[in-house]
Amino acid sequence: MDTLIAARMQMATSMIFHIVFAAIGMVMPFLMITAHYKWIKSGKEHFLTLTKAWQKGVAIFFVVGAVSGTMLSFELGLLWPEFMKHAGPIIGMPFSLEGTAFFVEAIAFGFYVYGWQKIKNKWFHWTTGLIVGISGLASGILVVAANGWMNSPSGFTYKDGVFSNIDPIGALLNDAWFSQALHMSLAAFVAVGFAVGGLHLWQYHRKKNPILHLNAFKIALLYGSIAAILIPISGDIAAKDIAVRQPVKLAAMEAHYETEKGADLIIGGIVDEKAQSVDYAIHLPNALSFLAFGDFNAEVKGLNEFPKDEHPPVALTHYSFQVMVGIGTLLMLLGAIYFLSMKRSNLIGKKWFIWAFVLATPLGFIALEAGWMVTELGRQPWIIQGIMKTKDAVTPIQGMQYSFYLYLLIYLGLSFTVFWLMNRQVRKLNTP
Amino acid sequence: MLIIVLAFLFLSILFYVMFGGADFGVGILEFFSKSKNKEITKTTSYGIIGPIWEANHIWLIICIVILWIGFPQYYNLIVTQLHFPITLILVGIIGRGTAFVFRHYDAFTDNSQILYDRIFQISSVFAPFFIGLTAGAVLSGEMIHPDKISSSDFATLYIYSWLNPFAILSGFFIVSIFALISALFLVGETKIDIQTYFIRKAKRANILAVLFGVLLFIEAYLNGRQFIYLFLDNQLTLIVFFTVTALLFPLWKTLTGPSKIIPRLILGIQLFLMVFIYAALAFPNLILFKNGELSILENTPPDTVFVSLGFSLLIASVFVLPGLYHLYKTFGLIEKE
Ligand code: HDD
Ligand code: HEM
Ligand code: HEM
Repeated sequence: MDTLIAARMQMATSMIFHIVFAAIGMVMPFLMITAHYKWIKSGKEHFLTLTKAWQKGVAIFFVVGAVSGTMLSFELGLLWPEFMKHAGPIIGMPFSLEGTAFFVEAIAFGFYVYGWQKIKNKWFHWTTGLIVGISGLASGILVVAANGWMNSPSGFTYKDGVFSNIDPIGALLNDAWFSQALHMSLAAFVAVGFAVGGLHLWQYHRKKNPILHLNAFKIALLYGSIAAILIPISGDIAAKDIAVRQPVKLAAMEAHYETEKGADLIIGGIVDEKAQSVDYAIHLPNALSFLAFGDFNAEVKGLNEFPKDEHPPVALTHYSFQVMVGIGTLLMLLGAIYFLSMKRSNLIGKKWFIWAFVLATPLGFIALEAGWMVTELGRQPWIIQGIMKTKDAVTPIQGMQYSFYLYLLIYLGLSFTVFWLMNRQVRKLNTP
Repeated sequence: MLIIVLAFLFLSILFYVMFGGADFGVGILEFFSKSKNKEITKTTSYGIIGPIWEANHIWLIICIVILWIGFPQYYNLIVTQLHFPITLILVGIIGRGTAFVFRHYDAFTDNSQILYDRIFQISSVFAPFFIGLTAGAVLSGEMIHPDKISSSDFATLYIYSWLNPFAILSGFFIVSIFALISALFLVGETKIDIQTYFIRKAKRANILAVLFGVLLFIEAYLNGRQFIYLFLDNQLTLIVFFTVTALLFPLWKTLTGPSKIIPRLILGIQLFLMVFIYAALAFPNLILFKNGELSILENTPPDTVFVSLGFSLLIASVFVLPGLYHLYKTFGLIEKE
C-alpha cells in the first residue's frame, strides 16, 4: 500500500466513522427536546424517562463525535498538508465559524445536562436544549460548505500554481454549498429518524416498556418521514447542479460512457470498466437528460469526453449512487406510510408495518454513507476540483499504512464499544 | 486585524493550557493516586469538570483553525515534521475523551469500570506528555527550515526534530503543570477533609514542575540551544522569570487560605507570564529552527483573510464568552454559592 492509498483509506475511514456521530449529534437533540416538550406539556412520566434516556445517548455520541472531529481537524493537515497550506486560508472561514458553533453547542449542552437541578425556569432549560440542536445543525452545514468548495472551488484566482485574490466569503458561498448542505441536513434527519424509530419500534414489538417505545417511535418518525419525503427533491437539485459543475462525476454516477442527446437513465447493472459498458441494467429512455437538465433531449456528456486519467472510480461511484437512490425511494414510501398510520392508528399493530420499519433501521445510514461515497469518489482524482490533484496534496511521510492500521483499529474499537454501550442503555430502559 | 488574530492565537493557547490543563490534570492526579484515593479524585473531579469539560477542549480546535487559516506555512511545517508526536496526542485524546464518557454514562456500573478508569488515567498522562513534547520540539531548535527540507534525510526531518532531551523534558514539565493546575482547582472545590489531600498533591506537582523547569534550562544551556540565549539576552524575560518564581511564595501561602480565587489567580498570572515570555521572546520567529529563521509573519495570506478571520473570531467571542462565563458561574466555579 503506498502512502497515497493509505492516506485516502485513512481519510475515508475517519469520515465514515465521524459522519455517523455527526449526524446523530445534529438530530438527536431535536428528538430529545421534542420529548422534553411533551413532558412539560403533558406531565406524563414516560416522556421524562425518554428525554433523559435520549440525553444520555446524546452525551455519549456527542463526545465520541467531538473526539473523532478533533482527530479529523488534525488529520486534514497530517494527511493533506499541501492541500491545507493552500486551502486553509481560503476555506478556513467555515471551519472557524464551525468552531464557534461547536463551542456554543458544548456550552448549551453543559447547561442542559446539568440544568435539571440547577436551572429554575423550565422553559429556559428547554431552550438550552434547542440551542444544542441548532448549533449542531449549523456546524454540519458549515463543514459541508467547506466540502462544497472542494467540489466547486470559488473565491480566489488561480494562475500558474498561485492562489490570489482570496475572498473567504466568496469561498464559503460556493456554488455547491446550498444544495449539498440542504441535502445533507435532510439526510441526517432521515438516517437518524429511521434508525431511532426502528430501534424503538422493535422494543415496542417485544413488549418492553411499550408506551415509552411507541412514543419514541412516533417522535423519531415524525422527523424522519418529513425529511424522507423532501430528500428526493433536494437530491434532484443536487444532481442538476452536478450536471453543470462536475459533468465527469455525473457521468460516473450514471456509468455513462458516451456523450449523447436524449440519454437514458441507467438503473442498477454491473459495470465493466474495461469494456466501458453496463450489463444487466434497466434503461429508462431519455430520463437522464431530463433529470440532469430538465429537458428530455438535452446532451449529457459521457466519460469518454474526458481524459482517462481524470476518471473517478466509475463502478464504485455508480453502485453507491444506486444504493442511495434506491434507499431514498424506499424510505420516501415508508415515510408516506407513516403519515397514513397517523390517521389510521391500527396500522402500527400490523406485523408487516413493524417489520418494514424495523428492517429500515440501518437503511438511512447506509444511504448517507453511500451518498458521501458518490461525492468523494466522484471528485477523484481531484482534491480541489480542477485545481489540485489528490496525489499532489498528500503528506511526504512514508509508511502511512501503519498510521492507517492504527486508526482503523481505534475506530473499530470505538464502534464496538459504543454499540455495546447503547445496548446496555436500552437494557437499562427495559429493566424497571 | 493581524494583531487581533495573533491575540486570539495567544489567548487560545493560554486558555487551552489553563482549562484543558485542569481537565487533563484530574486524570493525571488520578493516575498518581494510591488506589484508595482514586475514587475520591474521580468523584470530586466529575462533579466539577463534568459540566464544562467538553468546552475546555475547543480551545485546541481554535488554535488549529487559526494556524491553518492565518499561518499556513507554520501549520504545514508543524504537522509534517511533528507528525508522529501529534498522532500520539490524538491517540491520547481519543482514549481519554471516550473513557471519560464511558465511565460516567454507562448504564450499569460493573467491572468494565476498571477498564475505563485505566484507559482514562493512562491517556490523561499520555496526551499531555506529547502535547508538552510537541511544544518543546517547536522550541528545541531541532526543526528543519523549509529551505533545507529537500536536503535532509527522513530521521532528521521526522524523528530528531522531536526526539531530543529538551522536548522530552518539556513533556514532563507540562504533565506536572497540568497536575498542579488541577490540584489547585480541586482544593477550592472540596470539603475541608479532602482539601488537605489535594493541597499535598498541589505542592508535589508544583515541586515537580519547578524541577523539570530547572532541568529544561540546564539542558538548554548545556546544549547551547537558541532558546536559552534568547532568554538570557533579554531583560524583560529575566524580570518576568523572577516574577513567576517570586509568585510561588504567595501561591503556597494562599493555598491553605480561605479564598479559592486567589491561588487560582496567582497561578493564572504565572501561566500567562510563561506563555507570554515565550511569545515576547521569540516573536516573530515562533518556531526555532536548527538552520535558519522563519518569521510567523512570512508567507501569510492576504489581508482579506485576516479581516474575515478576525471578524469571525470577534463575533464568535460575543456568543461564546458570555455563555462560558455563565456556565462557569452557574456551576459555582467562579464564586462560592
Ligand atoms: C439518508 C440519506 C440519503 C438519501 C435517502 C438520499 N441521499 Fe443523496 N446524498 C446523501 C444522502 C442521501 C449524502 C450522504 O448526504 C450526500 C453526500 C454529500 C452530500 O451533500 O449529501 C448525498 C449526495 C448526493 C448527490 C451528490 C452531491 C454532490 O456530489 O455534490 C446527489 C446527486 C444525490 N445525493 C442525489 C440523491 C437523490 C436523487 C436521492 C433520491 C432518492 C437521494 N440523493 C437520496
Ligand atoms: C462526513 C461525511 C464524509 C464522508 C463519509 C467522506 C468520505 C470520504 C472518502 C470515502 C474519501 C476518500 C476518497 C478517495 O480518496 O477515493 C474522502 C476524502 C476526503 N474528504 Fe471526505 N467525506 C466526508 C465529508 C468531508 C468533508 C465535509 C470534507 C471537508 C471539509 C472532506 C474532505 C476530504 C478530503 C480533504 C479528502 C482527501 C482527499 C481526497 O481523497 O479527495 N470530506 N472523504
Ligand atoms: C473534514 C471534515 C470535518 C472536520 C475537520 C470536522 C471537525 C469536527 C470537530 C473538530 C468536531 C468536534 C468539535 C468539538 O470539540 O465539539 C466535530 C464534531 C462534529 N462534527 Fe465534524 N468535522 C468534519 C466533518 C463533518 C461533517 C461532514 C459533518 C456533518 C455533516 C460534521 C458535523 C459535526 C457535528 C454535528 C459535530 C458535533 C458532535 C456531536 O454533536 O456529536 N462534521 N467535527
